[in-house]
Order: sequence, then structure tokens, then C-alpha cells
Amino acid sequence: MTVLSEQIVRIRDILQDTDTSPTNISKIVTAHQESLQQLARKDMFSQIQWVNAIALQGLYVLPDPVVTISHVLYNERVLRYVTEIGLDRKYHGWEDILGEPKYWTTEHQNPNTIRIIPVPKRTGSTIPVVPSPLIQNMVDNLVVFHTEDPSSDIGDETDVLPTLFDWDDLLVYETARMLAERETSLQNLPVAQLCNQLTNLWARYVYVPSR
Amino acid sequence: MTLSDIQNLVALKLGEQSLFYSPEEVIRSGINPAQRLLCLVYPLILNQRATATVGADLPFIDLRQVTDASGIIIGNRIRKVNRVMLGNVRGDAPVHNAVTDELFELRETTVAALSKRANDWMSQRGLIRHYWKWGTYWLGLYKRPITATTVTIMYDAVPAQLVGDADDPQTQDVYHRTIAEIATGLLLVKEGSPQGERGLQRIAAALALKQQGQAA
Repeated sequence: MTVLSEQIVRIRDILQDTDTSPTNISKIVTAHQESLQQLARKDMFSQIQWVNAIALQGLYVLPDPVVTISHVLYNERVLRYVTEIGLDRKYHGWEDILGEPKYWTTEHQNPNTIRIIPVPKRTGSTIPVVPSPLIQNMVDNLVVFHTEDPSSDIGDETDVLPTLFDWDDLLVYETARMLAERETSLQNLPVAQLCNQLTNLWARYVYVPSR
Repeated sequence: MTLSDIQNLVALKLGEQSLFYSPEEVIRSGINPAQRLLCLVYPLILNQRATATVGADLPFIDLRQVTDASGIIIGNRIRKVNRVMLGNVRGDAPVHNAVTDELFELRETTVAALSKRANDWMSQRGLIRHYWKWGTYWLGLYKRPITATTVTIMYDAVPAQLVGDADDPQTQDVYHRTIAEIATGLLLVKEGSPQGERGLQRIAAALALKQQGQAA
């Protein structure tokens, strides 16, 4: 959990890069986002998301950073994942059923879109509940357990990476490797190889939470 | 050893080239990552305890908000939760859980296991007997507490960043020279071949890694 600028300085230390121009910094940030996405694709960053459930609305578009959806709750109750074939076998015209939601699916939906079946009849409250880790009321609303891609929130040097220091270290070496490998006049393959070994060393020991 | 002492030791190992290795770089790219790597490879070096009070009816807490005895937020340095106890067992005088008058070790479970067990697990309130984790930062209690409840969290810690000259690493003194050696190895990486390779060998040797070939 460090400020992005600190990591950029560390990457520049390794690459012996003295160029502080906005163009160069932007290149480093873009490479760093790529490194972060590599980890995000492996479901390394878990998150819990509150979603306001709306009466007569079955489709919910989750924010772009959502990577993999694992569990969905409605009104503090577990919704079961279901395939469309499963629903077809069970209900006729299931897209049109109103009632207490029991299932969720992502099949044949746009990315990051979930469909709740049956469609809820009630709209959940949006009044903040403090203290609450989600700030919002879970009653008659959705709670989604998922993994996320934090790279979309990292664009400015003052941004703070929401990751553990261990991940930050790993990311520094991975981004340095990526930049040192590029087909540019600053290419430095020996440093890239050493950074790759350090990335592997960190990756071997870093704690991957179970879900 | 203080940060300043370790910094001097690293400078000596690097041949006192303060121009090529600035004092700031030695700390940010050497010493701080080095102490984290040491504790990552050997988590038992820095096991700690913290207490957190979970408000009534709250199903989970954000570990990033957990503070130490001085009120400093430590949550982002909680690497892995190992045990959770009902009550406060951080100090020498354990404080029993106010509601049930007990010190009780909670058993770990998962969201998947709870979901299989009961559809309404999230809404169940009552006696707390389990804890669950979601990722690095979320720690939940099952069942949801009826009243505010204090739990003690035992965890593998990421060492605090060293900033001021007089700062002491959280690790025992016996490891401070190891930190300096690992830091030297990390700093040498920017020199490429062959110094950087020797740097990795120094790291592997300092950590006494069994599979040194992979890091060297």
C-alpha cells in the first residue's frame, strides 16, 4: 500500500532512468498498470461490493474493475449460480418471473453484468448505514463477493495502490523487467533477467488468500 | 541497529559509492524491501497480535482499519491472519469476551463453506464461533455479533517502513545484518551482469534458501 510515485522512483532506480519527463513517467505508469493487471487476472485482489437492487430490474452492471464474481447475496441470503440451460429446464419464461431472487447468472450477458432470477419486486434502501464496512444496508440489496483489477484506479502519481507491500515489491520488479526488455535504446536484458528472478522469488513466497 | 546504522553498513558493502547509490535509494530500494523479503520468506520472524472491536450486527471488518495499541493503523501490514480469538489476549492480562465471559478460539471457515451450509448465513445473529476471510483485507465473523465484540487477531506482519535515522526495525537485532546483506543484493541488481548476479547470490545466501539455484 504505497503511493504510486514511490514505486515509480524505485523502478527508475533499477533502470537507472533519469528522465523525469511526463511522457516517460506516463510510460512507466502504463507498464505498471499492465503488471497489476497480470495479478488481477489471477484473481489476487478480492473485494466485496454493495449493489442497490431495484424493483423490476433483473440485470445489474457491475463496475469495470470487477474481474471474477464468486458469490452473490440478495437480502443477506445466498443466491445460487445457475446456467441458462438449468433455468430453461426448471422454468418457462424465467426472464419474466417476478419474486424473491434465488439465482444469478452471467451467461450470455455483457462483461460484468449479472442477471438475478427471479427479478426482485422491491427496491433496496440507499440510506447509508454507519458504521458498516459497506456503508450501505444489505437488506433488500445485493452484495457481491468478487475479485477486482485495481489498475484502473491507478493513473496519477499521487494514487495509492490498495495492495499489500509484498505485492508492491513484486510489481516494481515486474514493471522494471517489462521496461528493461523493451526494444528501445534503453534495453537492458541482463537487468530484465535479474528482475524476472526477483519477481519469481517474491511470487514464490507471497501469500495468496483463499476464497 | 538503527536505520542509520544499517544504512552505513550497506554503504560499506557497496564500497561507499554514495553518488551511484544515494542514501534515499539505499532505504527505499534496498533496506525496506529487504526487511519485507526476509519476513516474507520467514514469517515467524514477525508474528504479531492486534485487537479489533466489531460493532453490533456488523458481519465483517476491513483489516486496513485495525490499529495497534498506540492507535496507529496497522491493517495494511497484516499479511496473513493465522488465528482469531474471542476476547482480548494481546497483553498479559486477558480480557474475556463481555457477553459470554470466555476466551474462545474461533475456527476458520470460508464464504463458500458458509454458503453451502445455509442460504441465510449472512443474516444469522448469535454466538460467534467462526471467522472467515475474503482476500487480504476482509475478516468476517460468523455469526454476526449481537453486541460489540472484541477479537484478537494473530497474524504474519509486514514490517513497518523505516523512515527516520533513529528508526529500529521491528525484527530482532540478530537479523539486522541480514537485512543489510539482502539490501545490498537488491541494490546491485541495477548493475546488470555480473554484479547483479552476484547480488542475487548474496540474497540467496543471506536467506539461506535451499533452492539457491533459482534465485542465483
